[in-house]
Amino acid sequence: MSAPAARRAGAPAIRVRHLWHRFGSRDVLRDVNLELGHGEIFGFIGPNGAGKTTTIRILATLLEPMAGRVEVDGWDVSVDPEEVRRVVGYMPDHAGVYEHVTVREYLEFFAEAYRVGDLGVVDASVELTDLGKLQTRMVSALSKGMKQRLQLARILLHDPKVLILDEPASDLDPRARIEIRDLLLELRELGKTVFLSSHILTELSDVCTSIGILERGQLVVAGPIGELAERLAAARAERPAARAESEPGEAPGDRLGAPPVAPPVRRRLKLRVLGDAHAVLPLLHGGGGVLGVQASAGGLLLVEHAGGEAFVAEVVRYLVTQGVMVVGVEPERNELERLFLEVTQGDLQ
Amino acid sequence: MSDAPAAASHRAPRAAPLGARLGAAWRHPNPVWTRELRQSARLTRTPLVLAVVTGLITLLMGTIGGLATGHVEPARVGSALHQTFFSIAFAVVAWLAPAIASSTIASERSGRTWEALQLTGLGAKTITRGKFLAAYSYVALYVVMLAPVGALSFLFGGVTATEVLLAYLLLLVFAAVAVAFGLGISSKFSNPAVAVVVSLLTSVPISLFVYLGLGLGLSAAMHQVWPEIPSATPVWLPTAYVRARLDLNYLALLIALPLALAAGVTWFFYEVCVANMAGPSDDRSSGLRRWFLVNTTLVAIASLLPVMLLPRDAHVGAIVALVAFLGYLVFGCLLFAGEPLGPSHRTQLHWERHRASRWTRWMGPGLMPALGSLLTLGLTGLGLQTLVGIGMAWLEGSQLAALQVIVWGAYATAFFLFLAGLTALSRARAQGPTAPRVVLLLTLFVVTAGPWVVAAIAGVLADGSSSAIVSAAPSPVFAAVMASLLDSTERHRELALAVGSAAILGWALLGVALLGAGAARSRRLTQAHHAARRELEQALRAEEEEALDPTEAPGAG
Repeated sequence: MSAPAARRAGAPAIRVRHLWHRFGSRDVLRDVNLELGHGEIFGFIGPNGAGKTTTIRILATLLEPMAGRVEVDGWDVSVDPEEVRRVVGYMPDHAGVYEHVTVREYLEFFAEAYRVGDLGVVDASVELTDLGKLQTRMVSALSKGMKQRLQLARILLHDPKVLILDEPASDLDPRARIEIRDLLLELRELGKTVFLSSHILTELSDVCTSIGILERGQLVVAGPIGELAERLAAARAERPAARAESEPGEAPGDRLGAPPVAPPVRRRLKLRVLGDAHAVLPLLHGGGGVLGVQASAGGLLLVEHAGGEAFVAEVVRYLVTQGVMVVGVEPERNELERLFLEVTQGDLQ
Repeated sequence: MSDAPAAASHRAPRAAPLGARLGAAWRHPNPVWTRELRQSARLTRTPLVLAVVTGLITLLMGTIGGLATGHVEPARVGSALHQTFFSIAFAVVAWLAPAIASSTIASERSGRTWEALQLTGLGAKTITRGKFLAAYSYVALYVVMLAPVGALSFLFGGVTATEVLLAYLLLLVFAAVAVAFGLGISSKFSNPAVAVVVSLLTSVPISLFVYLGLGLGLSAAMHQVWPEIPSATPVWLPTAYVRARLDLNYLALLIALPLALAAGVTWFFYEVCVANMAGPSDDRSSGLRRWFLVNTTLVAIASLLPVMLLPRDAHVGAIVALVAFLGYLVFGCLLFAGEPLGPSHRTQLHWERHRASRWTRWMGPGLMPALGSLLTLGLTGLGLQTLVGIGMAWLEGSQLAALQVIVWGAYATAFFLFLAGLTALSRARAQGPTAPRVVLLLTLFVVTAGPWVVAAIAGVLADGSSSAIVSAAPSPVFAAVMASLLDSTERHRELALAVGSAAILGWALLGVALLGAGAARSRRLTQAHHAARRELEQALRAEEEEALDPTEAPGAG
């Protein structure tokens, strides 16, 4: 019998088809479908217990899917886990490290374990993750942020095409988070595909080219953030009262096909002006798109509106032309946070 | 990775010659081993523990030597010190080695470094070898540290330098077994503390059994074979190597048997460790099956050693061999009760890619092939042992002895068939390996002891009538009753032999029926699994074709 083709040529970086997984009698993943192109940074979002880590562990070959097919760079994780491991770099949430070795020894060990041959990759990895000055330091003496960097350096040793990062910035201080974010952008420039999960939505919106929102084991939405926002806005416009009329047992995924789920969104915009904010109230009351305005001490204005970014720009421009000194503009939520809240119900499994 | 044809990476791996493999291992030592050594070397507790253990043993040896020197002749002091030192060294190795080894894999899991290690693609075998070497190096360090203390006995006389050297070598061999045992335990646990406790709870009684049974006990038996070996001395093997005369018994009992025992046990735990570390869809069976094939052959041969040791009652030796071999086959049933019903999708695809031979597939995962191997080896072994026993009885000129061997052989064979059948059905009906193993152990206990309880009650009810003993016929121990009744004139002899024969036939028929039922259920489940798999593949393919077909595209045609 001839050997069946093992790898699909020209395959996307990640392809998940009809993925199901169950722990005991509980379906953790239910018919998840996903496709991720090469060079993308994909943010995987979902409430606690939604099935993110299970999906990630399946992608990393640490768990076998019970049904469906999962491919990474064309390799089926169920059939060729060894090949998948060659093209994947996986950084788990709260990963451990060997404490009683130096940073250099730690990376050399993994380079040998990956059988990369040339230990020059350790230098390259150290340089990329900016660990050069810490090479001789014991791993046990590193801070959390530095250990996270070390993990990133580890998963880059075998030059994987796809990086899978489970909560890479959790427990990190703001500075370390920014550094990790910059590193991810750098990796994207190097042609890596990054699949990362995070609870910090603002962080994802800064780096991700696309996102997927998982809730109760189902992928609710997936795609570029802007595109998803437009789709939801369009759907909302078409069926403003859909949420009220929707079936009680409707699954979140059904909303993707017929997305209108919410009444018009009331967004809030914080403005800070020089002088008395109350004096500005008459300028905004009754304006097009303005749903309500409140003023408070310290020159703060809270504007409720139903518009988008263009509306915000228009409000600022109008106030400036009216002689109001605007010194701060802050949309209350960023786009991804709004999107997340809109398509998920926050239910745990 | 390039888009090169996938088949290139799936060529059947060709095993390099041993020399080349050793050379490669020398040039590129196992990375897990070197990393663990480096870590151990940095731990401050390592030299401290080594120094304390060595210091305490030196103190003890010095005290014993000092106290005895005045009134006991030096040769006896030397011999006593030799026995004391190596008994302590044995305890240190027997308890310390499993404890050290048992924490290694478990600590990777608890420290959350296991996944990173697993994803490097090193493979379960390489990781196991690295862990083994690391733990063994650490234990060997203890043995080396203790070397000067052990040599003290040589200064007093009573033991030769060769004996001391051989004792150290044997200690190192035993350390390998103990480390492998610890690793086997470690591979099952994810908490190092639990793994260490379990290893100690098991290694302490086992080491006591080894010390008392294979040490003190066996020295008495060896004294019968070679009077030069002192009786009731736990450390007798190095002395035997030096003092026993070189003959067939020497080669069999002093060289082949200990080496086979050490290699067999070490290999078993190595394979257990590899299987426990592999994924559920990986081939976790072939290694253990290879071990079982080789080991069963060796055990079948080794179990005939009582025939050599009891030349005057060789048929009794053959019966002891039969019973010992049946005990080993029960272990085989428990082992294969953990087999999957069939190979995973992954394993099957890999077999197809590598054009695996029928032998490879037979030796791979699958309940019925595993039980097929067990039955083939078991029945052959039991048959040969029965034949050897009959042959010995014939040489003794005793027809009765031959009949006794036949009774034991028949009962052992029938009961083994029943156990294999029970294994097949209980595994085929269970989701995992635990339930069939529990069923097997419980059945074994009930069937062995239960009929005797019934016989005792029947005896009481029948006013002490000796014919009540026939109620115990279903117990395999009843073979002893049958054998003893063969030349008896008791009234219930005919009845007991008839009921016993019926029990033999009953176990055999029940075994065959259970095997058939187990095989049928296993086949049905495997076929259903493959059908579901095919259905899924077809559905995915159809969906893919639909997506690619331009005529199906919206707006087309």
